[in-house]
Amino acid sequence: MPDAHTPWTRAALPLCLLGTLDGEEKSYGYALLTRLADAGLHGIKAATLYPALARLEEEGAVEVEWGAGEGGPGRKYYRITEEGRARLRRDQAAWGDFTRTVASLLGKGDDSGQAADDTDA
Amino acid sequence: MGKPPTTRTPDLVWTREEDQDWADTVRVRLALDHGVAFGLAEEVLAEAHQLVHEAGRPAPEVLGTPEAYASAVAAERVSEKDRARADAHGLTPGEHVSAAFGMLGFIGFVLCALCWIEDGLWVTGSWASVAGYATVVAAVSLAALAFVARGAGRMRGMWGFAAGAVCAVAGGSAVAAAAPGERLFAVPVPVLMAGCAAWTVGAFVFPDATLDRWFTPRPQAGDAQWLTRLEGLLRGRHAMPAAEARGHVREARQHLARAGGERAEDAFGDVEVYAMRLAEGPRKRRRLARNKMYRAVAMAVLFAVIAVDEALEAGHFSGWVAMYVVASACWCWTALGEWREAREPTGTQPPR
Repeated sequence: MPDAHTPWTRAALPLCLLGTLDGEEKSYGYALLTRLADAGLHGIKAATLYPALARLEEEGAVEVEWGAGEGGPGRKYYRITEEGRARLRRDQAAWGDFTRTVASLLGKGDDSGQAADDTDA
Repeated sequence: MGKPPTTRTPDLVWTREEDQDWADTVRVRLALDHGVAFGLAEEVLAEAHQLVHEAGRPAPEVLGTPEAYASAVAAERVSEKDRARADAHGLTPGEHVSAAFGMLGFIGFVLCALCWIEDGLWVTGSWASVAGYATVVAAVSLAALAFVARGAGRMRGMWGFAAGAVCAVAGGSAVAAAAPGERLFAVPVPVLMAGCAAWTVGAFVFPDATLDRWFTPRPQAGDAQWLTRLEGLLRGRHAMPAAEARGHVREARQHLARAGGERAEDAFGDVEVYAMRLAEGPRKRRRLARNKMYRAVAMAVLFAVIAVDEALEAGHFSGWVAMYVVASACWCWTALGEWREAREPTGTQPPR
């Protein structure tokens, strides 16, 4: 995904993280970064990911558990909480409303570009 | 609805008293908590004034609490780089040094004025008194620099300055005790006051940017230094408990181990910005309140000790003793307020 999408990605990152963690028992930062990149969110960097996870932890949406690393320092695992699942459901609904609103403002499909051109003219 | 005033100067007229209070609080929070420049603050308030006027409702109702509004403005209008350079008080290390030394000079000026009123125009000095005053100035200066170094994330520097302050007290006391106490010179108090005034002016005139450079390490040569600096910033500048800060550092180190060869600066970016991002969660307010509580307790104890010392020396409950007792009580009250703030659940107020 191009860098132009980075602000959107950053805004939606907590929701994406909760969605990813909801499908797993627990995960850690590097694995989450890989999962998000595999899903097409290439713009996310460690500098953005870990603060977002720290914030989710402080908000009670995820909990932290330290486990053994692979020959290196201990690994910090994240697990979604019940509060996090409730938030995920709320945010999913809000995200759906938001994308529908944006789509309605932009018009539908290929007509949007034409509509914009007409307006400019 | 009439046209609202469009001025962007401090004489912006708010029709309701609560709106005026709201605007004043936003202005103070922007300046003190986020270090926002005066011009930008006034621009922000002019925009808020317009919104409130058009909505026809009180500012807190339209725009939320002033603290939250100031935080949102700082997040949106001040660059991360600029916000990351300042601590919880919105000051950079250089500004802290200027403020601390300026205050030291001002206190010296006031004490000289009191001395003039109580003891007359001339004061006498001896080697012992010179050593004593030099010790006080050195110890206070080094202690202030220790706090500044802590806020700058230079934990080793902090311990260095703190050790220097202790050594200054020990060495200076010994010299003052051993030095002869006979009269060495007499000087008019206004001369000392002029010296204190010059010190104060010098502290504020000295460029903050130069001081900032002294407290900022050179660009990190390696990951180890980057990670050490991260821990220092989280603990010192953002008042994060040591265990929590080390947890973030361990996680970063673990990420770098997995990333295979990626430099910390490349993966995580500027260390000051990264530390700020990690510390901006809902627990920030409680951490800062706890930090302020420790300081308030320290000040309360300091004034209590001075009060007892003064009372023992004077042999009775003098006006000075009363003043120290009141100061100690005020700091106790402050500590109590911060303790309550630190115990409030996260999320009840926006992070400041």
